[in-house]
Amino acid sequence: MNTFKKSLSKATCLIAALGFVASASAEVKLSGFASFVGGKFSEDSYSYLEYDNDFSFSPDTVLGIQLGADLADDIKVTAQLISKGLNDYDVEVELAYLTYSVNPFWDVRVGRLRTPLFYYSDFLDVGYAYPWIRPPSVTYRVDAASFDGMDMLYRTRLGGWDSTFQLVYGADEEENVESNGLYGLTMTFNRDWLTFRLGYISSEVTVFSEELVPIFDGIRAAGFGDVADDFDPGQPRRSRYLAAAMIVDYNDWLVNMEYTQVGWDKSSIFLHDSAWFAMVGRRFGDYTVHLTYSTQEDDPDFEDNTIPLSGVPAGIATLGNVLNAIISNEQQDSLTLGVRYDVAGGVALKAEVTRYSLDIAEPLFPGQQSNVDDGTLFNIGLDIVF
Amino acid sequence: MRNKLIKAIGFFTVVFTSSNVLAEVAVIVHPSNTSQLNTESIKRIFLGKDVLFPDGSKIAPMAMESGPIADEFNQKVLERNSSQLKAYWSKLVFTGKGVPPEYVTSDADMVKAVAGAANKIGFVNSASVDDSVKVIATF
Repeated sequence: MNTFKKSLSKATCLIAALGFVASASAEVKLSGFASFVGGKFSEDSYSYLEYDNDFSFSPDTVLGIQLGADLADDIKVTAQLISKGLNDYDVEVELAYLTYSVNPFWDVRVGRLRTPLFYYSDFLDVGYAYPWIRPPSVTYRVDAASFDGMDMLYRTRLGGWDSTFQLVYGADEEENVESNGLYGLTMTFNRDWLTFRLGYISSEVTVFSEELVPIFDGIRAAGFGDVADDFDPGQPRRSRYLAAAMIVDYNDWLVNMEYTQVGWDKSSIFLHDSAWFAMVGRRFGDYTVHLTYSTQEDDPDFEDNTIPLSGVPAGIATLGNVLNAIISNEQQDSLTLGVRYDVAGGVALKAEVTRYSLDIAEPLFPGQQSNVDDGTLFNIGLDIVF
Repeated sequence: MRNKLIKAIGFFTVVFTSSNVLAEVAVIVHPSNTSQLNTESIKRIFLGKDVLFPDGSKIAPMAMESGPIADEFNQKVLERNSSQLKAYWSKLVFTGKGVPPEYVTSDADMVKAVAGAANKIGFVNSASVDDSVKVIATF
């Protein structure tokens, strides 16, 4: 699998290089997007989405350049270079792929592609393409933006519905997370003002965390190897990700809803949850006003922690409690009110206020304190595409 | 009911008034193109949803990004303003799921381009149309 991934990464570089070579012979199309976003969180003691009590421009600011070149009638290369405030404005190759058009309805793409988790995943960095400063982060909580591999896109018309089917296969390797045997299917159906999207993605995920190693080593040493293997994210486990969305754009009324759910084939200390958002917006000429509610709730696997908490040596009970304490059982809500002003074709100004609250999802583990954090995030932004 | 009627009358007054004031938009193709296209088909072509002419040849749509004729075409045929259209194409371009029309900046360039290729379709001010192209619809 590693070899497979490495060769894919090489393929990605090759495709990127090809794009630049192509510039010598074929016409290179250049397009780009940028979002300049400033913001401030109301609280001092903790931060939200990397914003704290000091006004900051880095968490959401992004600049992107897309290069595209036709190598032949049916083959083209695309590369997207992105610089984000969150990564100290380092320029990264976010996307780089080769598209082979089998016919006008079938595309096969190979290289580094977007992981199609959510409706807005494909163009998450292109703020101009959606009404908010960012899609509701309480729902858009899965951080797996891109993968190395391939997809097949098939477009057709089914009983008046413009339909797109996308099959993906690949793998991804980030600093602390490895994702193997990633596969998935997304289906999008559009008719006039109504769009539906359904998606399923599965991959074998391994998380490397130095803090967790001593905990699971301790649990194994105490004779609870099966519990450790069940929970330890350093042991590969397969995810099941489901998403459903409905997008309405009718007579200047906008309604967006998206529901997503993550499950695993083993017990999990994090990201075993469901989340959704609903947005209502209304266009008034060049202004769009929108209100969004989003919520997320963990489904903690406390019952699979079979380490006894009483009637055993204190050391063992402590291990049981430590495991309970690292099993995530959060519940988050956000309410966002925002306005977008379309200054001109390709330029939009945005302002947003988000009320965020972090709570505890039931059940509480024995002795857990129910602490509630909340705060208000203020943002202003300028989005452009060119 | 009466309110609806008044609204409808108001709407048509606006439409007729504006079409009197604004120039007429002509959708043009190569003279050899025999396609019959209604407003819905033209809309689908310029939104990248239909990519083949009825005879199976690949469509190469040409558009103007800004200006009074583009605004009128976008509003009447595509039912989107320029910002909405820009957001629509941003979504497709940056995901590699669609290719926007090729853009020209003047009626003269548009007529020249459409006259020069059998698979092109574009739009211009009716007053700019000459024998080198065929008008298939006006708005």
